[in-house]
Amino acid sequence: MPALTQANHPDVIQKNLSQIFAVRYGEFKSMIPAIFDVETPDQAIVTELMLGDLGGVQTFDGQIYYDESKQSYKKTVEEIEYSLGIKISKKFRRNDLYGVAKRSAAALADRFRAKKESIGANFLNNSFSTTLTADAVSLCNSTHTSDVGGSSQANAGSSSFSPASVAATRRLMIKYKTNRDNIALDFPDTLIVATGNEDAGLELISSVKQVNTANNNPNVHKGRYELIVWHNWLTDDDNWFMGTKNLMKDYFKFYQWNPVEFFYAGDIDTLTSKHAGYMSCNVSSPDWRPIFGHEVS
Amino acid sequence: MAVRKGSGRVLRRKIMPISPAAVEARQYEINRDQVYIDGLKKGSTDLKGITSFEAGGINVAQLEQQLAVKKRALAAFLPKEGSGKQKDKALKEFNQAKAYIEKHALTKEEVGKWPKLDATKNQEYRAAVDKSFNEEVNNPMFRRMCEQLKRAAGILDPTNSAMRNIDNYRRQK
Repeated sequence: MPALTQANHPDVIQKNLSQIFAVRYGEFKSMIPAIFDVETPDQAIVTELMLGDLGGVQTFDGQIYYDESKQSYKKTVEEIEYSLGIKISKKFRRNDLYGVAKRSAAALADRFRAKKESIGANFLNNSFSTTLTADAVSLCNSTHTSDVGGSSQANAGSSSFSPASVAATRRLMIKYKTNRDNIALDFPDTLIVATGNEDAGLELISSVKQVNTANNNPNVHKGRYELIVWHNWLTDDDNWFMGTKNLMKDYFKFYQWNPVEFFYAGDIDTLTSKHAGYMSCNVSSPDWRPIFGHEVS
Repeated sequence: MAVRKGSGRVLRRKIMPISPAAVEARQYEINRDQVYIDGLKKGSTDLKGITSFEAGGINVAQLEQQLAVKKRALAAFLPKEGSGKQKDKALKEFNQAKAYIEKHALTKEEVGKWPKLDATKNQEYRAAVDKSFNEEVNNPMFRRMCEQLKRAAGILDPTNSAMRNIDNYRRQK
């Protein structure tokens, strides 16, 4: 018996829905690449390992002093799958004068975009509670320990967004030490805020002169930071973060085992076509040093 | 309770309740995941039968485990209104933290300071930055007091976001 094929049932399969899905999916500007390094793992479970820093360089007095890096904390990240689908009957499609099927495919693409943003943003939304780094405490925490000889450090505060608190936070981040208490070599250059602080953030980094006063002084914050505003998905308008781009790209990983795919198939018994999206991803960071978070409320 | 083992020591820390907005977002996620898992278990999910992700190929037990972790996390981090006795204790802690924050936090006026080119005029901004660094950002006691205030506020009135907001306890000048 010959197999049921798409070629034999052209009306069951509405091919152009996949094009609508793809076009709609591509229209969205995601904040994920601005914060995470998007990576495709080759294993279902990824192990992230922190390495101990090396000691200081010694004066050469005829012999080389050797040091070794020790393994520090580690954590694992597991693949999580996501999917959502719609079914459309042949009769509905035939009578669909208003393009509802096409709009549904576009809506499906929107939901996948929203889900991905939500997964990424929740990494920060939960940074004071359940987003854990390899040292088993929250990403933004008052007591990040070291198991290779360094002292404990903090990357959580409660100060509201202001020029003074931005400068103070930058000062503290510059003083971060490695996990063996060496001077860290990367400096903060990124501000991440929700919609509520968008204007204040733009004012801080973009205005040439000081605003809101009669004094026409230059704004020393101008151009010092890149501003990332994550509309809608950062759930708390008051909370804000300062980051170090280099380190964020090194440690903040958006693992994408399976990028968003659009599937379709026809059910000949019910003359229904099924259209679904599927993806699998997760986010993680073994280290806390890329960021300092302020939980104001 | 959050427990961390390291170098032979076990540290116990008080859990910090999350904000009402975060509770809502987490509850939404849990409900949605539960519906998805229920669908997989019944085998009635709309997605079953579609190429490359048969329900049978999905590790439902693992998904349930992840959901259980989310539920436990929410339960642990959910601010819970306390009993009368707990509220009395929380009120004392709240007032203690509030007094500390009022004394040490930047005032609203200092929060509004901007950098200035003129060295003399810039003093006020520099002073605000120094105060922010020493009294807030790099002050472990300030962080503890903020956490204490938020925790106590969660016991006194779990749904009141304003009560947890540190900005509301800054003096004007």
